[in-house]
Order: sequence, then C-alpha cells, then structure tokens
Amino acid sequence: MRSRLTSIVFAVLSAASAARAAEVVYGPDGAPTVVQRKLHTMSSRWEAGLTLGTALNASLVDHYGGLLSVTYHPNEWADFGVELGANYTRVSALGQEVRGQLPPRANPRTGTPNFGDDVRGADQMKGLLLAVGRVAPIYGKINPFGEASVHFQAYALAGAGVGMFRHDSLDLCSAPGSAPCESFASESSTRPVGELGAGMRFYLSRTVSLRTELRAFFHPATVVRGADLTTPGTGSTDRYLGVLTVLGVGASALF
Amino acid sequence: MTSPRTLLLALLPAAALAQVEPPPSPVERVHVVEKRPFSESGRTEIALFGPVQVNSRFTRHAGVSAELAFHLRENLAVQVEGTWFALAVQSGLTEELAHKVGQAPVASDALLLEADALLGLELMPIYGKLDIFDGKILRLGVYLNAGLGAAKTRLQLRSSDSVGGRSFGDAGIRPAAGLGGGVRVFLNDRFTIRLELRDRIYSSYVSRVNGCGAADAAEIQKSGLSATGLSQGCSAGSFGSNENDIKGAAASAESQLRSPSASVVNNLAFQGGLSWLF
Repeated sequence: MRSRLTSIVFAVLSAASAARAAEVVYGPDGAPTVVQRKLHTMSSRWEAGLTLGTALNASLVDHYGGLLSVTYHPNEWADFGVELGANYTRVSALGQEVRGQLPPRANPRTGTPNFGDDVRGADQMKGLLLAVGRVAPIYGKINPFGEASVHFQAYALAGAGVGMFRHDSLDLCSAPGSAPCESFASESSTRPVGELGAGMRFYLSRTVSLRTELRAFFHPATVVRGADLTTPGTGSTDRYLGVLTVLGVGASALF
Repeated sequence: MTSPRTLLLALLPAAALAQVEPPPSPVERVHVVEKRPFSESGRTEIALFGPVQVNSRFTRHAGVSAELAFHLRENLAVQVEGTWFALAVQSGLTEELAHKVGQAPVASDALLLEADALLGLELMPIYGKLDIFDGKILRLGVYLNAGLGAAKTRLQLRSSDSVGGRSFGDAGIRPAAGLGGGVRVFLNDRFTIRLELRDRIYSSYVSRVNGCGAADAAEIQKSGLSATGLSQGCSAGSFGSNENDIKGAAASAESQLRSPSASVVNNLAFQGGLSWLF
C-alpha cells in the first residue's frame, strides 16, 4: 500500500514537472507576452563624469573648461551629488578689439576728465563648486545604425554653490592719467552661483555613457558706473544678474 | 514491493516529455520587425513653432514660424516654411558698446532678419521610442531638413533708450537658406511635439537702407525732408515722421553705410512647437 502511494506521488510530480516546462504566457491577441524594460538601470549606482564645455553667450570673454561630477542615483530617475569645475578664461578677440578703440580718457583740448561706465558681461568664471541634483524623466532608444539601438536618457538639472570669478575691465584703466590704457582694472571675488540645465545621456554600455548638456550659471554681478576715466577706483556700483550659458560634452562612468 | 507496472505508469509523463523535447541545437536569432501603428506617408502636416535665436551676439531674434509639409514617404517630406521675427533688434551688448565705448558692429554683422520663406526637404532617417517616468511609451523620429528661399532684412537705426524708442530701416530682401535638425515626438497618430535647431543663413551685403545709399543718407541728415538729388527709390520720409527723427535716423544709416560691408549671417534658433498630421 505504501509503495503504491509513493508511486502515485512520483507520477503526479513528474506530470507537474512536464506541464511546467510547457507553460507559456500569452497576451490577449495570442502572441507571447513581451515585457519591455530599461536596458540600463540606474538605481543604487554611483556616477562619475567629466564634461568639457565652452561658453555660448560671453562674447567679450572666452571660457573653456571642464566639470567633474560625482553623483549617486537612489532610484531610476534622480541623482544628486557634487560638481567641481575649472575654466581657462581670457578676454575674447572682440573684447580686445573693443579695448583697442576706446575713446580718450580726457578731453584732448581741455584735459577735462571723461566719465564712463564699465562694460557688462565681462566676468570670467574661473572655478566653481556646486551641489547638484538631476531629474531624468525620459528614457528612450533610437536606431541610428540599422539594428543597433542607442539607449538614451534626457534630464534636467539644478545646483547651487560658490564660484571664483575674475573681472578684467574692458575700458577702465588700472593706472591714473589720461594716456591710453596699458593695463586694465581687475578684481577677483568669490560669489554664490546657481545653475539650471538640461542634457541627454547616450549609453555606450551599462557602464559608460556620453553626455551633452546645456547649463546656465547665474551669479550676482556688479558693474561700475560714472567712473572718472583718469582716476581708477571712482564711480558707483550697480548690481545685475550675470548669466553664463555653457554647452558641454563629456562622458561618465556608472558603477 | 513496488510492482513493475506501477513504476512504468509513474514514469510515463517523464518519458513523454523526453520524447517531445527537441535535441539541443544552435541558438537561432529571429529578427522581429515591429509594425508601426501608423505612418506619415501620404499625409500632410501643419506645424507651428516659436523660434528663439541662440547665437545672439549683436542681434536678438524671437518670433513665430509656420510649416506645411507633405510626407512623400515615411521618411521623406517636402515642406514650405515661413517665419516672422516679431522681435528682431540689436542685442544688449551692441547697445552697450555703442553707449559706453562708442563702438558698433559693421552693418552686415548687425543686419536683422525680419521674416523669411523657405522651400525644402525633410529626411527622417532615425526612429525611436521613449517613455516618461516609466509611463506611456511614445514614438519619436529624428530628422534633418534643408531649404532655400528669401529673407526680408532690416537695420536698427535708433537704440531702445532713444526718445521714441527703436527705429528701423528696410535693408531689402536677400537670398536665404535653412539647415535644421530636430526631433518629432508622436503624442498619437495626429499630433506631435517638435523640437528643432534651425540655422537660417542669409546674405548680408548692406549698401542701401530704405532705398538710400550712403550719399543719400548724408544729404538727408543735412537737409531733412527738403533733401534733393536723392537716388531713385530713396525718400527722406521713410526715415521718420518729423524732421528730428528723419535726420537722426539718416545719420545712423549714413554711419552704417559709409563702409559697405558684406557677410553671411548664421541665425541659429532653437524652436519648439506642435504639429498636426492629417
């Protein structure tokens, strides 16, 4: 009796095993159900990236630099971390052209000093340290090369921190007198900086991706007004919101 | 003791499975082509954009643009586009340089694009999909377009802080071309979101403003409405409504025309919009 029971249990188990092997889930139209999902998941991963960029809207100053970032992705669509940036900056060719054609500092006939304003938009952002957060609501893929898919993610970012700035005046001299400027007034300062931006990430593999970004950096800037052109350090100061737009291209590693 | 018959019965399902399981074979790749739920082929598309210049150095442009396209194939369309830049003015940098250091860009660099019309082709070679917050999946297409046409141009003669505000002089119609690239995201089979970067390229040889050359402008600056000996098509009245405005605008035109300048201007604009396929 016991041996018969054992045989029946064995037979049932074997039948169940056979049935399981043949089990297929079908969708409503009879086709096998296909579950589409992200090829590259981001949750609980760290990301280190380097973005090289140049300023788009600073006609009077050239900016070329890099931004090193380290962020953590707590879920699929957000990450936060820190960014460290450094720029090589210089007065642009247009800025040099402006410097080369400045009006006289004093009336040539009477010697009376002329008054003038500093030109806005000549701040040079030398470096910055930011806390940054990114939201990536869009994930997708395109097929640019036949069957090869390129997966991408689109994101928006925002950050805040401090920046190191240098301002080389384009028209205010550093030495007193009425002779043409040989050196220009300059100053360095540390200011709060905010940033807003958007970008896209193209995955080369699960670990490496290429990124392209457009960022706008905001900072409180000042400009000298009504300065005596023959006497450095004169005039009043007006405040305005400085904006530096940077287009960047870079790569990042996820681990 | 287990009977041989019972054991045989118990092993029957396993034996059956062993019989239907095919022998191991090399993995076979099956190429699955997913049929697109809808096609643009043979359909007409109307799009409305809001272009904003992104390479503004001496000029600033923003306006509206409309496009009519007919999709000859899924990935090829012929299109006609018209743009009106309601805002076409000198940039803050240009005005600042004029006020603070008495300098101005040459006329060809500061030539403003008032409107243009282009006829061209669009190629959409890349398709893809995207989803937002792991929600609805949307289809997208990446496209390139190119076109040829004409552009209506103008020069700014008075700055924004002048009495009476900005004033402009007509600089004529110039040949133009357009090159663009963008993304079309299909919200459904009829409506799409369009994001595009469009380079409008136009010739900017400037020798006349309001039909007047540099000599005409100098004469108008000197004599105002009573200027004589002007070339054909040049009228002092086109520079303003009163003597002061006319003389001031003519002086600005004369200074910009004194050294005729030529260039090819790239007006690079980001434009976002919506389109309707029918």
